Amino acid sequence: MMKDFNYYLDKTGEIGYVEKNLKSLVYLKGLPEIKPNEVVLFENGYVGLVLGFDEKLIETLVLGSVDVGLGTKVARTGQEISARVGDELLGRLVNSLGLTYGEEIKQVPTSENNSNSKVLEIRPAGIDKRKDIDTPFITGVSTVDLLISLGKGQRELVIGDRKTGKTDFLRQVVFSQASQGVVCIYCAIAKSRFDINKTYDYFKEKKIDKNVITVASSSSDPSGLIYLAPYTAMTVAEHFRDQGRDTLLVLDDLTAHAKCYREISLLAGRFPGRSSYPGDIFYIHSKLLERAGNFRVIKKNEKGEVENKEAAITCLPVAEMTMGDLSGYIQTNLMSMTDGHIFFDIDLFNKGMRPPINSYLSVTRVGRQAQSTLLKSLSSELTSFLVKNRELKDFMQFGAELTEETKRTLDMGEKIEGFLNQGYDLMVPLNANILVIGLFWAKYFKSMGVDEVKQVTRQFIDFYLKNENVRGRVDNMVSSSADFEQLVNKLMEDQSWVSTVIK
Amino acid sequence: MYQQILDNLLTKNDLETLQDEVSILETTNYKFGDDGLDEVLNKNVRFEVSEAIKNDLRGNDITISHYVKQLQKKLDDYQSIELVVPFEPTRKNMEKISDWIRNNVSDKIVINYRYNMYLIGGAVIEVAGEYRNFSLSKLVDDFFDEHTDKVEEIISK
Repeated sequence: MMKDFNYYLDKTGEIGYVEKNLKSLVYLKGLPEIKPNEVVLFENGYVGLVLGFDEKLIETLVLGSVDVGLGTKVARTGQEISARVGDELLGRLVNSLGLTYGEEIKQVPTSENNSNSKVLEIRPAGIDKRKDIDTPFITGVSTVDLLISLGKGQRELVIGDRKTGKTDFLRQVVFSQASQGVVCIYCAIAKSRFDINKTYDYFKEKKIDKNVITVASSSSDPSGLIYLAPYTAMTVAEHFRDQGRDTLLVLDDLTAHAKCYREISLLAGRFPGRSSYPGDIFYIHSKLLERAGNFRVIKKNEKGEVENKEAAITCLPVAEMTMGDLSGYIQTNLMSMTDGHIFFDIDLFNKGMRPPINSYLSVTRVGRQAQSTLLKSLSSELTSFLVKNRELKDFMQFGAELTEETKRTLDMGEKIEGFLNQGYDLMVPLNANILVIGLFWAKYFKSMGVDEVKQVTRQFIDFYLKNENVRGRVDNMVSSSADFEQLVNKLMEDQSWVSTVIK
Repeated sequence: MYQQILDNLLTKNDLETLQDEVSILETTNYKFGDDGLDEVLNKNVRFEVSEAIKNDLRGNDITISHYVKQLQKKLDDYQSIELVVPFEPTRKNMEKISDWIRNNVSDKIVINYRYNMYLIGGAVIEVAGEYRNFSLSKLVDDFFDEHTDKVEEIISK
């Protein structure tokens, strides 16, 4: 039997009527046994989500773009809102309910109507189901992998002014992870349709779409769908986690989500707090981000035996700043509920740095525990060097005479910055990154100019990716070095093979 | 007191009309005191209601303001039932139904009748958000849903 309005009327034995209409928010009368987060069905086929109620009226968010008239009949479904999940979503562009993007919502989004769906609002997993973050998460971007290392299961905020390349960086990360077989979910929140299609086309062009799901809500969508989008994306990620697969979840961006929720709350007459945001704006995001992490997964294999696996949901939420102000309300909220942040500096962007990541203002709280000893020592050396380089650059402004040592340091600093300015089209594997930095310390690039260094390093990386022998040699050298000093010593003893490879 | 007025309340429309009239009385009494009562009763209130009010006031020693407030309270206690039927009921039908409800359920109920010919027979009842479909069309739909295979078999023959 088709589950239409009359079906739910007869099933639940309750009816309601629209008493008040505030565009995306309607108030209902009736439905005595209604529960929060329950899905309701309007007579005209539209779907609503119950936000709350008092003794007289029920506050409902309409998940459609048409005004619901006063007096319209409403039926309960008796179920919480759920979204479609499953392997069939891979490679697809879906809306906030897991249905094909752009399609009208004709089916009631509950688990009764779709066996392959999960409830959107669940409590985050407890500490007994979680595991320490101990595996590195490789983005393919040298600045991040060497200086702001991430771990699988980490929640790292990507924060920067508008149009500073955050989305391009995220696409790069998705490409890097999807190429390794990690399931990637890109959630576009209140983006323009042009941007959504551009991102979706990028994944298809790079032939990684079979590992990527795009959950999209455009700026012209109803507020209800924009509000639900990140929860749907997280629910889909949890589905794959439960199968024992690592997942990357990108939420682009949560400041737009906060604005949408503010709009809904102000319409609902909630008391406005700081910057007119409602009092529960922190909770809206924290209950979402707490669902990411590194988990112990217990699943049965084909033989029916219980397997203990580990699966992570690595989350990269995005926050937009204004004029480099890190102290905004939503921005500081998100910084406090994540395990660090990657700061996109508009000054670096204007100087031509791509991606314009400011490693001095970026933080990683749990990424270092996933680093190997070699990477820890390299990261420490590189950071110290770059800080020293920056201080010397500042000192240069006074016009003092420079010593040879200072000139060498500044020269090397310029070359390293040239290497880190990799652009958005290049994905650098971790071992290749480590070896290149090792070559810098082994003075391989001493006699080359900045442009030549960039060209040579690109060639080397290209060979690393394409040539199995080169890759094997580099991987062997990196894995057999206990720390950075040992690696540099090995390269100082014998670096001629690098020239042979490039030539 | 009030019984003559309340006995005539059968439908939700009757209740709302009476509530409007009581509201006018209350406002007039507030503005003009007892002096404006006759004019309002003659011009703004239905004849049967006006007569009932005059009888009640004549027989009892109460002020108009107290009378109107008590009547308003009694009207606020009334509950409404939605009754969807496949015919347009006459006043006699409504009186019969209301009598049954008063004797078996409560005397503080009014009915809002709606017409829907597609019910074929029976009725749909809605009370305080509760919905019950006792229509003939639902029985027929349920029958066909339960015996779809048999019906298809018969049709195919």
